[in-house]
Amino acid sequence: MEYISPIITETDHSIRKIVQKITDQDILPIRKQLDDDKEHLIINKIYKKLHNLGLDAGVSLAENYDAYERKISHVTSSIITEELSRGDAGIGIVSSINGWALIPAYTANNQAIIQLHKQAIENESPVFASFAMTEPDSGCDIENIPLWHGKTIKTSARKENDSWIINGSKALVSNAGISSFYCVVCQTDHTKGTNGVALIYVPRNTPGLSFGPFEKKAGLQSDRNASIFFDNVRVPIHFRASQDGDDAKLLIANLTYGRLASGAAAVGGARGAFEEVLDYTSQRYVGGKTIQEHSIVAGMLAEMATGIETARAYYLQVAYMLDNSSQFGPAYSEKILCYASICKNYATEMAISTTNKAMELMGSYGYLRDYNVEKYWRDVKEIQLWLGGAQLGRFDIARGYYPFKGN
Amino acid sequence: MELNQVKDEVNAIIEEILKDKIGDQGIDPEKHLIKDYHIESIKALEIFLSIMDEFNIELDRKTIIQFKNINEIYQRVHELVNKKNVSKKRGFR
Repeated sequence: MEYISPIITETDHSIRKIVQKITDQDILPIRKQLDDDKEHLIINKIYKKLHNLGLDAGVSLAENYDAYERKISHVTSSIITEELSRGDAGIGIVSSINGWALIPAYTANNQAIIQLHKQAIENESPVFASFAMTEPDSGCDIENIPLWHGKTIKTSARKENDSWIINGSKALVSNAGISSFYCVVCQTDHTKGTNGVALIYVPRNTPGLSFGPFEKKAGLQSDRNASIFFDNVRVPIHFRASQDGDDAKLLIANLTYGRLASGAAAVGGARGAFEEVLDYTSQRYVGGKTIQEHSIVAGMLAEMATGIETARAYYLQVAYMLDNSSQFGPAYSEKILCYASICKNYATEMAISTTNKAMELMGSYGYLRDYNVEKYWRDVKEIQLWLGGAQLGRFDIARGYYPFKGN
Repeated sequence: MELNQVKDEVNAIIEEILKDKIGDQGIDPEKHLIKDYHIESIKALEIFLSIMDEFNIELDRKTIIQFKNINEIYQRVHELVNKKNVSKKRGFR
């Protein structure tokens, strides 16, 4: 599968080649073991390699930097996410999340957090970061900023002298308990609505911070999720990403980046399953010819390929728009959020359908763990469910096309 | 593994990836890969990844980012390769 220019630069081609090599050599041969790697002993070796090469900051590389502190675009980081997800969507996603959690600080040029992050890079390998948004009672309600203006966020942040005091809890946070930093979506004052939304960074060892056990999930084991509890957690005042009003924009921008990365990850997962089934259908014979020579199978393979190629073309376009925000608008605009939501919704529907078809073409073999398809099938489903799920995504898409009158 | 053998293999990797940049004069060990050969950082990553694969070693982020010249890469790779061989020998005792 070739990528197109001019959206894809020579550098992107080189990065893709590197990540493809890592996926082929380090991820694909061990992906069947990942479900049972409860302690992440195998997975962490891969994360460490990505960290050493500076390829672990995923989506936010656009506002972050590679190992040589050179800026990397949204197009590049999306390609990295797709390539890693071809091997394992969990690895692709976790690599994205590290940067995703830090992008508000980098966008706001919050030097306190940037320096803390750089220190962590010096002393730890790999370095994980988490974005703590969803709460036990609400996911969509928090993300639905145009409707609720952040009023439904229950995790509170109270200013006391030169500190923030945080109370509440967050659910389903990737790498909770492992990450060095947590970007926590809080509300400082419910009467202030959007102006009260605050993104506050909490380092792992802060007193009052505790974590629940890892959730038991159907798939995506490389991405471990747990609850976080805040009991009078105190952090310095300058650990807030930015200020009243700006933090809400940073939150919406993060939804945009997250949905773009989800689209790229879904394409990667679909591609992995497609490559497996291409191989399988070229070797299995029915009626004297390979099953891919039968028109009904060829038709299904064609639909799968069409879905993958169109979803990729679209996420690349949206990534390009984000890289050229002066021309297309900021990441927090309704229009760009709408486009990123199309990315995620279309790509995840496509990936679910593609992995499903791949399994159908392999019959019961497709359902066996000895074959690779069932893991792709389990993994891509979760990508659809996060960040507001398919339904809030649809709402955000529709809002991009008509003036929405939220209360 | 001797240092000269490490140098030859590292040079072969660099020459393969930087075909157009090296020319007839060959690799100068005193030069910095990025600053002196004026290459994209990603090309340097490609070289380091190939070195890791070839020698079956792990280069840490500091080595990858902070090396001063190619000579320093030879030294680090040599050190890691021999460390790996020592621990292998110990394993057989």
